[in-house]
Amino acid sequence: MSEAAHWAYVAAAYAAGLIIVGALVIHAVLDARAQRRTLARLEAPPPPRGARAGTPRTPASPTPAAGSTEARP
Amino acid sequence: MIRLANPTRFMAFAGAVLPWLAAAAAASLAVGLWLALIVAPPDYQQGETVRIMFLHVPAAWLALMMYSIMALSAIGTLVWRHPLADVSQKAAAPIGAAFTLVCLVTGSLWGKPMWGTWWVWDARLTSVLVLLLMYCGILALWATLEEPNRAARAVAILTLVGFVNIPIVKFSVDWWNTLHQPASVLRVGGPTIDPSMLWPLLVMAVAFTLLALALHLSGMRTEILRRRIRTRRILAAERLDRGAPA
Repeated sequence: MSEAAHWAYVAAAYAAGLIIVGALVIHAVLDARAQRRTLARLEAPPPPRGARAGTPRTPASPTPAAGSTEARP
Repeated sequence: MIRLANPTRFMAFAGAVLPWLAAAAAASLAVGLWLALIVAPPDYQQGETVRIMFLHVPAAWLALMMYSIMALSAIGTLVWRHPLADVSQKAAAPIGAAFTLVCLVTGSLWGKPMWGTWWVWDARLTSVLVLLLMYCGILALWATLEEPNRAARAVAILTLVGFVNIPIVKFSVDWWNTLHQPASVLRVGGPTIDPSMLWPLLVMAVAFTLLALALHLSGMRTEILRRRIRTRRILAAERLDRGAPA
């Protein structure tokens, strides 16, 4: 077997290792970030009555109608 | 150690240790890859393909180590019913599964040029495949049972039953006449590998161990956060049920 063929198997093995371990590390980082954000959102004090999260209410965005699924404060 | 058994103290400890552990893992991995791919000489029989061993062997050790950590945590769950033991079990499972997969894939990529086949139903290879299936079963069980304490007890029993496979993986090459070569590093009488290849292997093993520990600590922190979120949501739902604002 040629030296190039040996190196091809070595490259394939290291690429496979990088993909599997890389996926594990990326998943760990993204999952940790998602859980931290969710907990921070749940622990945040509720906004004052009448206020909405995000941009202040303008006449162009009226109060949601009764039965609307839009988030309420 | 007992002080760390408190989840809040554990979170503070892990938060302080994790960056250093991750940095040490990255540095040792860089040195290990340099030694494995550039410094180590080709083998007189295997040629350059021997470099796969520097990835395959540490992955195999880690696959066994993570299962052993899960088994110890399972004892902690069943005997002391400690929540951190549950968390440790759950965080270790995907890491062990990933390293077992790396071990099998790299072993297969070594086997084709050296043995002339991707796979044989040899005792070592088959017992490692069983180990991967055990990890998959444990991950599936965690995903199936929603209530964490019930899931932890069921997983702990399955983990301890599956632990019987660990000595089979380790000693299969001694107990049966296998195509897989016998142990050449962790053996009575010392390693049989030349130091020029032993050092890259040991550095890669240290790097993989540090990486696995960093991932385990990170996974435990994430799982503790996930359980806090679950508790908050349950409390909010109970308040809603009683008619109080969430």
